[in-house]
Amino acid sequence: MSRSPYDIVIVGGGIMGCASALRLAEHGLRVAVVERAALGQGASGVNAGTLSLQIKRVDLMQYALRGHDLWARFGDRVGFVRSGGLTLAFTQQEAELLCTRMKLKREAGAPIAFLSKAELEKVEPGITGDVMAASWCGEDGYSNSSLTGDFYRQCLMEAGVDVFEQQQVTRIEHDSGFEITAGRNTYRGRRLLLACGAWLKSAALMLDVDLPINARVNTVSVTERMPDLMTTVIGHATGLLTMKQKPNGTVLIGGGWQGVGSPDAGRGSVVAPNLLHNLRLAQHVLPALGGARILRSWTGYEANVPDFFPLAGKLPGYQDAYVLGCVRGGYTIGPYLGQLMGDYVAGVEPELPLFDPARNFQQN
Amino acid sequence: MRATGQTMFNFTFRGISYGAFEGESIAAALLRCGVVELRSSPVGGGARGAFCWMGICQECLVDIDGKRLEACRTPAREGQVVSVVDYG
Amino acid sequence: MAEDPLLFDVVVIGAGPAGAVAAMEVSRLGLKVALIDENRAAGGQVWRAPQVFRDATDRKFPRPGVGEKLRHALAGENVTEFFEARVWHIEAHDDQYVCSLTKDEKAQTICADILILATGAQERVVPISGWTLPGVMGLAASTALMKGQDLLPGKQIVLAGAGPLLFVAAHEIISRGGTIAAIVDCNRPSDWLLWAFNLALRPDQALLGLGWLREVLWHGIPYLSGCGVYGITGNGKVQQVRVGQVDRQWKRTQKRISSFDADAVCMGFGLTPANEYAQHLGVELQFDKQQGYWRPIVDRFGLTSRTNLYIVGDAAGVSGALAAQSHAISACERIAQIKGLSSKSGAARKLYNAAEYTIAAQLGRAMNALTKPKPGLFTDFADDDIFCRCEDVTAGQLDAAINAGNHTLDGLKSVTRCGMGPCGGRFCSDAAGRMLSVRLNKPLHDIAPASCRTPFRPLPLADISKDFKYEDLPLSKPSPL
Repeated sequence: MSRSPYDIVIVGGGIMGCASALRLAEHGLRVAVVERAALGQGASGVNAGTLSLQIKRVDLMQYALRGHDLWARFGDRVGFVRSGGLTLAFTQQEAELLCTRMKLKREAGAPIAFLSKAELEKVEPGITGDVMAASWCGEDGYSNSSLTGDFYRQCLMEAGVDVFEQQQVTRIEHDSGFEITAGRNTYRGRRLLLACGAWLKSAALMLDVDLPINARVNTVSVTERMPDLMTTVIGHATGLLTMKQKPNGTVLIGGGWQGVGSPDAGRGSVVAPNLLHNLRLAQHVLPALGGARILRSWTGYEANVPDFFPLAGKLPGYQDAYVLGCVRGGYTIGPYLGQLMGDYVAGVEPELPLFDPARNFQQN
Repeated sequence: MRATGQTMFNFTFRGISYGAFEGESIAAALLRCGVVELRSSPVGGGARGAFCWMGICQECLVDIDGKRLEACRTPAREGQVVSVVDYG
Repeated sequence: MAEDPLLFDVVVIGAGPAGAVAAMEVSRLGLKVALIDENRAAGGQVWRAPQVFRDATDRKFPRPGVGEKLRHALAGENVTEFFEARVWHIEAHDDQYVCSLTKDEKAQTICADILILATGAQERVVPISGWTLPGVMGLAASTALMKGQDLLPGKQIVLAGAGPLLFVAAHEIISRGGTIAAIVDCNRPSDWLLWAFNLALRPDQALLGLGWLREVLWHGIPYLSGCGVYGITGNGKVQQVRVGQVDRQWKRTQKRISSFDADAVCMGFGLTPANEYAQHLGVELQFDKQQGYWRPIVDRFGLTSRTNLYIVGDAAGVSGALAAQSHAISACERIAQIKGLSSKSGAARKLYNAAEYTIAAQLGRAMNALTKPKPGLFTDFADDDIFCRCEDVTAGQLDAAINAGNHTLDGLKSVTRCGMGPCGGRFCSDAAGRMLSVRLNKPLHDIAPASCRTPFRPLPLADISKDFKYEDLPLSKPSPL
């Protein structure tokens, strides 16, 4: 390619990559986003869309609160709904877990309250009577993750970022800058940001960096359109259920039950026994779901490192290469973390600290 | 499996009684009686009826005792109460 | 919880001509075989078992016996049948295939070393203004209705689309004493002639086809060749059908326009392989340019790139019922060879041979090739014409999304919900791909099919939640704090 190199090439067109790109463009950099499929078709576009402070990690709460604000600002364009959210416990053990955890999260800044049985009944009358304890967060809600890609595509176009879709990166070479090869195309950048989610491991390996990344294979299912069954986002004390009814009447069921697959081998697959547990739990919580039919179940890859904190900083061993990913609750936090990353790369002090990818993952 | 017959029985759809032959699907029995509209689209509200007659397109969905079933492959039964799918 | 898994040597999904024959053949090898189908009896769509006999003394089926013979033969074999059962998910484990199904409102699991997919074909339709009106149905759909329920689609029927199914449906209607308002065929006689030489290979089929044509002419049915449906209108159901001439690319010329009163429209553009099972199992698809569809890559025995996974019959490429049976037999010969088994009875096998398969398949493919939708069908949409029936996604919405840069089927689906409804895109995804191809001026083989997701059919939650106990849930350790 004869054109002068980009200030930065971002590999990965999910939330992390796109949000970073937008911030970098705001700082005046010439940015290219190179995406293997279409924008937002990976985890960013296939997750359950839950925006719940109750399922965020304590140490990430401040990031999550700011992430929530951004989604609220994106509003209708991403189908944002602030519905409020419930977390339920069904055994004594779960109730204790819920109580301990939610108190810590409340201290970390999430406006979480505990509900009585009568209050719960009022908030969500369709719920089973078996609940032993429930917490509530009025900030919780959801967006429509299917709209992620189209939303960011419009934003990137307005910001003048060059987007190259259906470009699977096969080689990255480092000399004075970076040369990224995708099929017959080559993209040159003075800097490089790897923000390719579950594909981070293989991308970093192209620069001989072995990041300790694992991919979880999370299952999500959706029902056909139903009459009104529920109004809030419902979760489970262990985190093994998220459920909400979208404005169109469909009910989205997630909770991180595992499928199988590896990012480099293509899309993952649902594992029937796990899926069935997920769906049975959902129906147990909301008995009226028994009249619904599941239309689709699918999986998305969620990358993580052993300490389950993000990778956000310099790619170990490189001055001008960066890595962003592995964020637990990445859908909620991603837009904000992308901004921080954009600031950092542009030489502006980020508002909150980043997460050094060169840290010792076994501690913490 | 093989139904033999001319015997007819009744079921209801939208509160109206219709006759059906043994082995006849709900959608076929209604079509024979001139009823082709089985539900409305939950999006635009347009009338919908059986389209693929093979249980794939889901256009002929009806509600029987709170279950959503494809009228084209669900045999009519005596006394069955068939209603329109409620999308709320 | 689901009942314990049932173990078989071979599981065959689909009990049409290919699947039923495959099941019989493998059972003759002494293998334990399960045959699963969502219908009440074997026969598939083409030899669909009649369900209703309103007047038992006056049964006249166009080809009496073929389906019945198959069902009778099947009953005599040691095949475990799972009919009215729906496979909603399949997993490929290291050494076996695990099929999840629902039957009698309960979940069931069936495992086997060898999986034979004989899931057949599905109807290819192209959206048209007014096609969601009750009374509009597929062409193959109308034959299923007539064969299975012995019922006419309507009192005044318009048949539209392309290919031999027009005449198959016409024959079914005429033989039941029904009235056809018009047959509207996008092809011209010259298009038919182009493929007609294939008929010379099978004089019996040629005669059958000529018989249908003669029947149409004899009954004085208006046959409009080189014409297409411009739109269907009516108040809550089909009342009027507007038709007119189309050019060589099947684009409307706005000439020879006429209108027919009708209460039913049966429309279709041939058949495409039901790919979802193969796609889900990771079998690579290839675009068949002659047929204008994606099909799984299999060898002549139906063997896929996956160990012990066979795809036979129309599911491997639409070739018709005759070829489907031969294909199934060759798959079973391969299985016998690999397993070192010999059949206890070669009776059925003697009826078929490779040469016959080739001829039958060639004829089947030639006939189906006549149905390949041409680009002109995608240039005349009004913005508010419904494209995706389930989600009421309009042609205008699709156009807007394409213009906004959504250039993949998955992307289009995400942003418009086209293909996200209960049918899973089975009645809009093919057309949406063609729309993308036309709008982007890209060949069809460059438009990747939408990704496939299970369940293959809508899965009733009540059916899988019987006997649920909270204590049975394996709630592992909670997510990190």
